[in-house]
Amino acid sequence: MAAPRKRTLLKVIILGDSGVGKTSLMHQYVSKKFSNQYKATIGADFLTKEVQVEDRLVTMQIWDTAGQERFQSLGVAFYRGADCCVLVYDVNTAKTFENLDNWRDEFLIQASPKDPDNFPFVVLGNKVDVDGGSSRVVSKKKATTWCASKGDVPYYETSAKEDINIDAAFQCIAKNALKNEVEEEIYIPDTIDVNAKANVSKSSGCC
Amino acid sequence: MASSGPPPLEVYLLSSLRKRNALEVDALRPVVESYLRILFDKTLLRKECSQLDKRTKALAEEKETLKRELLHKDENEGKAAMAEKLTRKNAELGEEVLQSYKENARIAQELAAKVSEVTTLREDSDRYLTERDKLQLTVSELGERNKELLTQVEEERSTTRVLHVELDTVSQEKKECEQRCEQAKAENAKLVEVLLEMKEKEAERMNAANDYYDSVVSNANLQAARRMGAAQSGAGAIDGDWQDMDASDFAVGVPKMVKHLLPEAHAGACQACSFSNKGTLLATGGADQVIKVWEPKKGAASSTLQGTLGSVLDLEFTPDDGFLVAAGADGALRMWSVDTGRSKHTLTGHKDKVHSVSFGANESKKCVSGGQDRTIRIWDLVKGYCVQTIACGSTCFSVCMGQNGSFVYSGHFDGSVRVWDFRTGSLEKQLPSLHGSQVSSVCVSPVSDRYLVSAGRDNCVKVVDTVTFETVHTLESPSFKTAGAKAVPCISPDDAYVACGSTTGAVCVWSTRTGTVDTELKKHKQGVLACAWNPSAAMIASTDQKGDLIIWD
Repeated sequence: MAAPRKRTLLKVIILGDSGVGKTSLMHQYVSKKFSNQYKATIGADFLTKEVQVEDRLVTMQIWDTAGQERFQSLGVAFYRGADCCVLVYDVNTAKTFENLDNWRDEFLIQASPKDPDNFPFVVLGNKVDVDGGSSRVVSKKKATTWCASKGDVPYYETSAKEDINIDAAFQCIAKNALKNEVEEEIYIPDTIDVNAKANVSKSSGCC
Repeated sequence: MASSGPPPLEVYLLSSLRKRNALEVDALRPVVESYLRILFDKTLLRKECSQLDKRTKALAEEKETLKRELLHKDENEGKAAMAEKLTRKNAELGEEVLQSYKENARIAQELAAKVSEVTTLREDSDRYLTERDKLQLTVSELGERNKELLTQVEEERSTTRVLHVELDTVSQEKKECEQRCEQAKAENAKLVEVLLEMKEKEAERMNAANDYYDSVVSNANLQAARRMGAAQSGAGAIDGDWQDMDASDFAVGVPKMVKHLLPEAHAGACQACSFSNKGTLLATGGADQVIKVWEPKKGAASSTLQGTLGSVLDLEFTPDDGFLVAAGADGALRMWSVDTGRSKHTLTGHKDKVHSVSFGANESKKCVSGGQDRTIRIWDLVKGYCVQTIACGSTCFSVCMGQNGSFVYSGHFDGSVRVWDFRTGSLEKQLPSLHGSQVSSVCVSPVSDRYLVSAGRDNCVKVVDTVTFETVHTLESPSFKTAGAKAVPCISPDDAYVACGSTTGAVCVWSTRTGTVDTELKKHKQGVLACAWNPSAAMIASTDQKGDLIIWD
């Protein structure tokens, strides 16, 4: 099809425990800024960024959600229509890693995507820069094992402070979000094909 | 602590000093007394001594005289015995003197002892005195000290009092601060809640924007695909949906048969029905506050739209068929996405029932509504608010926008039909007392804009030329009664026929060419409230007071 349905808006949701650096990651990625000051996100914040993915320019709409329980009102509104879900944990805090399961389940329940098994997730282990990695408690192996068990979820080790791996991670996020959409595209040309056939048959009938 | 009597320290000090002083003075008293006695004894002894001395002298003188007498008497006779006697006496006296000397010596000795005793006593006394002085000094010192301490205590007490007062104020302040802190906390919580709500809304808006964006993109893509399909087939034949439209351009007749009878499509009266602009969908709304969307060909409901808080009085699809806008007795207009069934806007502003809503042929972004509050309002459907309010002086039962979008026709309580300039909102034309009673509905030719058709409660339907504003036909029929009920007429796509429901349960179809009844469709058991002509087929939908929906074909 010469005019395939191309979605150029991607809704990406960042989830994870309080203080793992969700907001920092987003700010680092979008505006290349980092602040040491901790400021809890209330509800959710949104930022957009244009990304080039394989010669396509897409607008990534990043939804940064609140990790702190008391600032959460994460209803369906926040999750609905997400194209990719980013799970973030802090490599220096075991608990944040253990909670990834909860966040993933919560997302799948709330967003109820059409194909939960193949919904694109990306896991980010943040704060790898802290103390030169000496205070780290979640090993890369442990994380990759977990990711593999959830269906080969891409995993990146990042640092929002030092801007390590951020661009690569978000590039991957955009790519995965689009990958999910490609399947839709395959479906739509099908319907157009049917119409085209109908057209053909009708025109033959007319003539 | 502060309120008990004088401090025991001072009392104790005072009493102990007094005791000690008394003890020391008492110890010295016998010494002084004995000393005084000794002094007295001494003076006595001295006196005695001097007496004895005198006596001794006197005796010595007597002896001398006696010696001389004896000498004299030696010469004299008889003086010897006397001399002897005198000698004896002299010896006796000598002895006596000796004794007195001895006694004197003893006394002297005793005196010396006493004196030494006195001196020791005096020394003692001196010592005691100095000691006493010292003690007195210490007593006075202690007194001073005591005073100092007392003043100090007083000072401390006063400072304690001051501190107490300060403590009280500080604790008060603390309480206030705590209270303020609590308040601040509560406020904070409230603010967080508000913020969360806002964020939620923002998220909803964002989602809506995304959905809108999606729909726009998909629409654009669909159109592109269609164009392509058209280009490919070459003959200009367009797929499914458009087929009927093509057919309708050629042949429009009058439906004669009941295609679908849907009994009690709505619980209670069904006052509104409208076809989508392509004719593929039919929407009905009723007193049950629900809007149902039907597929008229199958006669099956495809979705139900909810959200109105009053009876649905009128409804219409947007020209692009993407949305549906309904006017409700709750004074609000609501807009739903036809595909998703999701509510997009609630348009509030009318102060009373909204009787009617209408779109132009090409303007999906604006609609016009008329209400019981004697206003006609124009709404911006992108922003979701009223952009113009026209006061029309009489309850507006119906509005209809002309197909070219420049005029709005309105039917009123006072029997008039008014024509408004959509752009400026000014009154263009008034057809006063077109009907003898209230005008319940107006409509214009769906394609050509040629006729304005109005139904009144005076049992007739008028067909008016929209250019000259002259009445072309007054349509009547014995079985056509509209008194006391709303009648909604409709025009066939080719302007050839006008249909209108009657309280008798018949749907009368007149020919606009002759002005006579062409067909009467009788199937409804109750008064027909609304009817609509499918813009792409010879199909009429009619609804009645019981809620039945009949699709005629």
